[in-house]
Amino acid sequence: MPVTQDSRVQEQLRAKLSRRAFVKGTTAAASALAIAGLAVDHAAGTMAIRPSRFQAEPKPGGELRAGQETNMSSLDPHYSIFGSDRHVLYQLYDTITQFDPQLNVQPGLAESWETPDPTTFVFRLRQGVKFHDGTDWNAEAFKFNIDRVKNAGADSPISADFAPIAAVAVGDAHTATITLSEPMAALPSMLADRWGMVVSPSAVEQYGADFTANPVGAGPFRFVEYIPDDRVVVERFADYWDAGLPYLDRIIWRIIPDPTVRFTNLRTQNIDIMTPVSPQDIASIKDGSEFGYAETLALGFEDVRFNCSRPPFDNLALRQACAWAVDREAILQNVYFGHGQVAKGPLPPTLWAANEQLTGYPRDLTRAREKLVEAGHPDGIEVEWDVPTSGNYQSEAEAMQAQLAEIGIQLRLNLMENVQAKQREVEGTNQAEVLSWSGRADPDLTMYSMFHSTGGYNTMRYSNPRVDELVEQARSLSDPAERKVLYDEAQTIVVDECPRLFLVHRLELVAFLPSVQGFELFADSRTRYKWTWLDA
Amino acid sequence: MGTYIARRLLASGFVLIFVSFIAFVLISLMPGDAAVGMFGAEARLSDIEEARRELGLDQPVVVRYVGWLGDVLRGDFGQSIRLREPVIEAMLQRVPVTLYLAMAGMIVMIGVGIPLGVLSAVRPNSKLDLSFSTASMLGIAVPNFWLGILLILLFALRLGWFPPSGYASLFEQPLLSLKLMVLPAIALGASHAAEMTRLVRSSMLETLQNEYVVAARAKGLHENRILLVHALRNALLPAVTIAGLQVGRLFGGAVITETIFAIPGIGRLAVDSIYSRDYPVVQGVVLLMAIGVLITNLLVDLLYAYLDPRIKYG
Repeated sequence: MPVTQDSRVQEQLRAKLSRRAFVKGTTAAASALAIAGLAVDHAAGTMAIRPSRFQAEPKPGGELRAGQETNMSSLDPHYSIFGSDRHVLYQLYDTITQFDPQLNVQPGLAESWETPDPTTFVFRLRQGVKFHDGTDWNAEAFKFNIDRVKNAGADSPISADFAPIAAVAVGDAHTATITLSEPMAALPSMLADRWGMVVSPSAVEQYGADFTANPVGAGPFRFVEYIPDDRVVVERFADYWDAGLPYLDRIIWRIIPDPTVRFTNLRTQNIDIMTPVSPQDIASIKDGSEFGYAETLALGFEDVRFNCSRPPFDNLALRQACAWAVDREAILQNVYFGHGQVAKGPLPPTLWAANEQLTGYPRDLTRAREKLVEAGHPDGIEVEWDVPTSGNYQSEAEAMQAQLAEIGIQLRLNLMENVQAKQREVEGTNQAEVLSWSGRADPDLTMYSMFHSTGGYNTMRYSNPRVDELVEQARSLSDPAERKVLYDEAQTIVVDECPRLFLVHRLELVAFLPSVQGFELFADSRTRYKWTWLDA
Repeated sequence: MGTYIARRLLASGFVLIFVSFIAFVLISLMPGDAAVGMFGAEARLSDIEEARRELGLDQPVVVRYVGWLGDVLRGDFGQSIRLREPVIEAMLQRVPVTLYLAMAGMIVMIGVGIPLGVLSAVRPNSKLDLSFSTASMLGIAVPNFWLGILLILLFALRLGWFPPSGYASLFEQPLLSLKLMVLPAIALGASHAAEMTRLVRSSMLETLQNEYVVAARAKGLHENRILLVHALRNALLPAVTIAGLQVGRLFGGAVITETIFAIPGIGRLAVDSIYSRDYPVVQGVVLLMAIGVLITNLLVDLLYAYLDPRIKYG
């Protein structure tokens, strides 16, 4: 591999620093110099999106033991509900397009694609790819998968997003065309995620509804076993198309719900890598020298969502009063121990479409009081927010309760089960809810779904015709620069009108033993173990 | 005795129907339903509505219950909405695991509770008795999730004697399986052992006051024989009752222990199903637990008849 500036810098760092600092340093260096470290070769058709942190020659073999917080909702990518499922799914299933660590869309199982017009995508598929059961990857399989997602119905959380897909046509064995009923700028990005995880058509035909217990993909690892609440096991796929990869022989995920117990497993070396890392453990991992780690800013955000369809929060000035009175910096420090960034809008600064000009709401009690008066409640008001009991919502809510009290807003917190809070949100009987959003690689999936008046995730029942216009237009264009102009304006409006209060972008961390090499956390904070190896 | 058992079984049938109806109604009354529960926090309104229609959740409760009962009487326990697999399969995978954990907890409860109780009773108000008393107070007061984490931090992290968490099958990897079960058994059984200690102690003390004990001593019988054969057997009667009742509580405490120690048992399944309103699974688990409690109590009552010849059933 050619000696690039990146690897020279890495050698210098290695010589000067201790191992811990080296690991930290390369993380920083990698993020800064990631573009230089990438090798993407469209023309020759070899996909080489390797994470740039390669310190030595990879050694094949070994078993990686991963500790994970949540059970799998499904091993079938088209029916998977939890974002954390993808820690496993990305090993079993290759995708039609692929993300690089910064979530730029690159070739995957499709080598290239063209858009002769805004409603047509022509894909040229990679050749010589096989599914784990020996089935060939070709245009028929492409069509099968796109149709499967589109026709999956309400059981699948991703099916509705394929509504604009009108038809899939097979050209020759390695060419397929998707025809849309309306432009869909986010399609390439979606095809790098669950929408584009491809399953073996023969396996689906053979197993039918039992496919989820017998998953067959084209990814670097093949399925071995799944014991719910206990473990998932996969092994190396010998006929994987990217020759030489993966390095690992096996991966075992152990499902360990309690964060202290999970961390103890890492400290006693009963697991090699751990996701996620709780905010309270981040400092000891980063400051200590026992573990390697990889980090990224969360793609999503922690937020408060208002019900804009009924009092009291149908009142814009009241929402803005809350926005000025909340102390996001304090929440970041006290709930997340300073790990992360204050959120100024719905898109994190790491995403290309984020509006860098946004200033958000740096705490200003004077303006908050002015807004409260404008809202018609000069003497204060009593409001209630629903707070689901999982995660950090309660800590955030209690902090905000104290902050809002300073301007006379008496905040009553309704602690309740997640399902109950969701039900009230669905019915529209709540005033506001403290929750979070996991984020999406393409801004359309956040901005349209959340803020368009007919958006599937617009639980705030927010409606602004200008925003509708902007996000509709943005999804019909393919040039990112043109889309960004529209999204910038949409973000400005949405931040100004606060259907949601954006609080914090968390810092997502993955911690691992020093023996784990070749691991980089992609900006969607999902693990990919294709290039990972063990130095044991 | 035969008619007694037959009558008990018949009564059990009615109890099961009643319990299953109450559980069904309760879950239906809780805010939110399986359609909301199956998608998690980032669910689309349209998906939820469609799922609700498909699952028939908009029908009246009694209609749905009768439908469920009809299926169950034909042996069809339905499909888990959340897991998309048959309820029976989901439960069968997990029941042996929780049984294993509950039995381990019972071994701790009996293995620690009875000897400590007897020793305390034999030397009342001694230093030994006082230290056991304090220990049992602590055992009852300490919450079992806290104890569990403490045990993990001490014995797994600091001392490295045991693995921190996880489960292995007793039949496939016996040694590892037992090692993994030590800390969870202690965490689960500690408070029950503490209660058992106090119960056995007071029961023994009372029994030892009885005239037949005085008579046995006067006859010159060996003290150990008096204690273990004569006194303990009678003192154990209340303990047996309590142990039977504790079975239900052991299953309840197993939920927390299973979560802390990452054990794939039925407790976790039950809680996750309640949280997501996965009513077919909840019904299955409730029925299973009810059957378990009914059988255990029947066995306890029969054990009584064995321990105390004065008790006869007809």
